[in-house]
Amino acid sequence: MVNKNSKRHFLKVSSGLALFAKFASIGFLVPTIVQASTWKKTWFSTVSLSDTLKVMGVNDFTESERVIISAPDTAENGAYVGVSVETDIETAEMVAILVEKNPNMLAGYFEFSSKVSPNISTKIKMAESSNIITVVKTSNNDYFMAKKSVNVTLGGCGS
Amino acid sequence: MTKATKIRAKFKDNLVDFRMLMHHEMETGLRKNDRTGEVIPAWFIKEFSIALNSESIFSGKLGPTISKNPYLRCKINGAVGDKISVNWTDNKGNKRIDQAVVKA
Repeated sequence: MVNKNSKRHFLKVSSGLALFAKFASIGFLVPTIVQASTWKKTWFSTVSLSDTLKVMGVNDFTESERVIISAPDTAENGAYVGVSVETDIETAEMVAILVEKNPNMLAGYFEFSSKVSPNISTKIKMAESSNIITVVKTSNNDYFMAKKSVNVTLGGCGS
Repeated sequence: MTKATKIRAKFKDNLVDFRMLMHHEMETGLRKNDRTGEVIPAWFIKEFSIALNSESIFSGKLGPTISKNPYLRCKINGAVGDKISVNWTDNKGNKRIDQAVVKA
């Protein structure tokens, strides 16, 4: 009886160790300069703003004039809408670009170190006229937000 | 086969003006084949990272609503001669790494 128990105990401990080693090897426990969390499907399958912010871990945010979105007022082709996000918040370390009326709201989530100045441009698809929302995260875990509405003449997601 | 990422990195006004274009279809998974009516499966870059002299400085997670051939521009605190590498992975597991040097 005693032997059986100690064997069980050994198995329990050793499997725990193996799991620990596995996590460490994938990089869960290794600190990196840019926090590279893995891509999650849940992040890119939300349709409402509150859900999207929730999966990203945003509980509280401030709408701020210090976050500036540059995008055309009218985009002729929804398949290529140039968006640039600029902020003078020096501790910014993440920029997320969301499109309110797209089939899934989150378009891109960008994390960067202090060597990158927070002025990022990219191109996104828009299904229809809608608001573009950007969320900026600082190193103090504060979130700032800005909005801009863009008219789309020809939708670029389902066509 | 995938095409090389186009990288332009130029030193200007004390910062590196970095631009890149990753060649990729970025299929949304919502379009249908005109003839067969079948849904074209999603195919897009999920993650990319930019390293400056092998130090990771930028990482991005993308959804299929980023435009075809994802474009990114940013300003990096670097110097002429710095090595920049761009690394991406798509949802089918394809990977690609490309490198460039910051020009004056």
